[in-house]
Amino acid sequence: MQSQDLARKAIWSAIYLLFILAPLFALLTGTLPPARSFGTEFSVALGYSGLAMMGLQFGLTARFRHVTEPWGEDVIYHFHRRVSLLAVGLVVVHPLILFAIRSDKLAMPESLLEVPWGAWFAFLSIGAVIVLVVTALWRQQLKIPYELWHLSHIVLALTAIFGGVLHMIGWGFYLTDPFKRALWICMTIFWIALLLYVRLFKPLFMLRRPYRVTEVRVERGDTTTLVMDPEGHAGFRFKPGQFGWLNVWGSPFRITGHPFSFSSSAEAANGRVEMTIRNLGDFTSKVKAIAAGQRIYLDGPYGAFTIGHPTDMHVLIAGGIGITPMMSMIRTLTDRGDKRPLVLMYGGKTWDSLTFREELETLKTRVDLRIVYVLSDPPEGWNGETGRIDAAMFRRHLPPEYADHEYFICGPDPMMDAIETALGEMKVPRVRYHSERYSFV
Amino acid sequence: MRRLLANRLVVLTGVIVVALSLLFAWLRVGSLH
Repeated sequence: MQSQDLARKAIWSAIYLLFILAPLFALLTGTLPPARSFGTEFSVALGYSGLAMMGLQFGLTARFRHVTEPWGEDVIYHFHRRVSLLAVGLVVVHPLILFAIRSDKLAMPESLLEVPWGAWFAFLSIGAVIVLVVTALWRQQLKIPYELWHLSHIVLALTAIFGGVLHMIGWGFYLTDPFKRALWICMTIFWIALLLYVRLFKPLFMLRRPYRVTEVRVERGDTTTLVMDPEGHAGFRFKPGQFGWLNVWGSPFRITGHPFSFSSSAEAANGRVEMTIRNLGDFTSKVKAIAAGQRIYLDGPYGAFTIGHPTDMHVLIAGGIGITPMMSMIRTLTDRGDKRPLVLMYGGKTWDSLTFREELETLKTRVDLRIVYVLSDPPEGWNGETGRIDAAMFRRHLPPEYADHEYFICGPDPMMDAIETALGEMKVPRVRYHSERYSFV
Repeated sequence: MRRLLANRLVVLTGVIVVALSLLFAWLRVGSLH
């Protein structure tokens, strides 16, 4: 499985690089205009590569399950954010190199009217890309509402890309060749098609496959479970631990969905799925007001966070509402009659806030499950674990073959950082622990 | 840890793209007049 994942990662990485670099090297084919200086050609190559990377950003966020599965959605989104800085860097460095080497092409015209139109599109593209990066990096500080930001993000990205392509065509050096011009126009159409796929075709597909909320269950810890049944279709199969994008408050064409783990068993009948959502003070505060009977839209399943090898001990480490994917795993293994040993280390603030506490106690009688509760604010007389989950706690509760167990971690970012550090200290190989961060949007 | 993986992939992409852009310029100036 791991070698298969590695092969898939290598193939998708190669395809990604091919889509950036093949259109660049295609410029070297056929009849070529006279070569310019090394610096000019290098800066032009950076400009072309930067633009191709910007266009491929639509592919990274298009939620292609086969692409994201080997990495995990969180890695892809983080890559999308960071690689945008690289793409912008390349695009901005491109004219800076030309200025630095005083390329003839950048000789200052005497009036603005003499500036070629290809250069105006370069200004437009670079301006759009700078605004795009600033608003993406400092959206919260600039107090831009998420939906407005998301819409502006797409508009700015399109402006940057169209500006870039028109700049290349307008400058008319390599792209005077009709075949090369056609290739880059096709590339642009391909990037736009990626955007249309996620913003038009996917919502159309979801519109034809709606879900109905059949039950709204109040859980411990200011948490609500939505039970959802497919309406007029069979639903989808998911692996325990995966998540879906939930769109409760509007049509699937609305730009904002929210990712939540499935908390139900993957073996549930009739395509039924459940999501368990804690009130964290943002849009999640409205979840408990959802009424049974409401129509909703679900896009999924996604994510690489799912149960491992059947003979390994599974150590499930949940912090707060990070219990939801673990619950899906435990419920699924119970339904399957799976007897692999499970240890759940479940951290929460108070005893009363531990969601699913009663059901977990019942499930202990049906699967090989041991539970270690860890409270940061324990009640009087509590003799269980307190504080934060750390290496010492693992040593107290786990069989000593630490490197042979599989670890699944879900919770707040600081908790996940601390646990990954603790597992590193215990010499647990990196391939033995699994995590996926849900704070990626 | 997972962000570190993504960051490493970005650095690797950057190195490959810059290296191949240099190769592009070298091919263009050196042999493909």
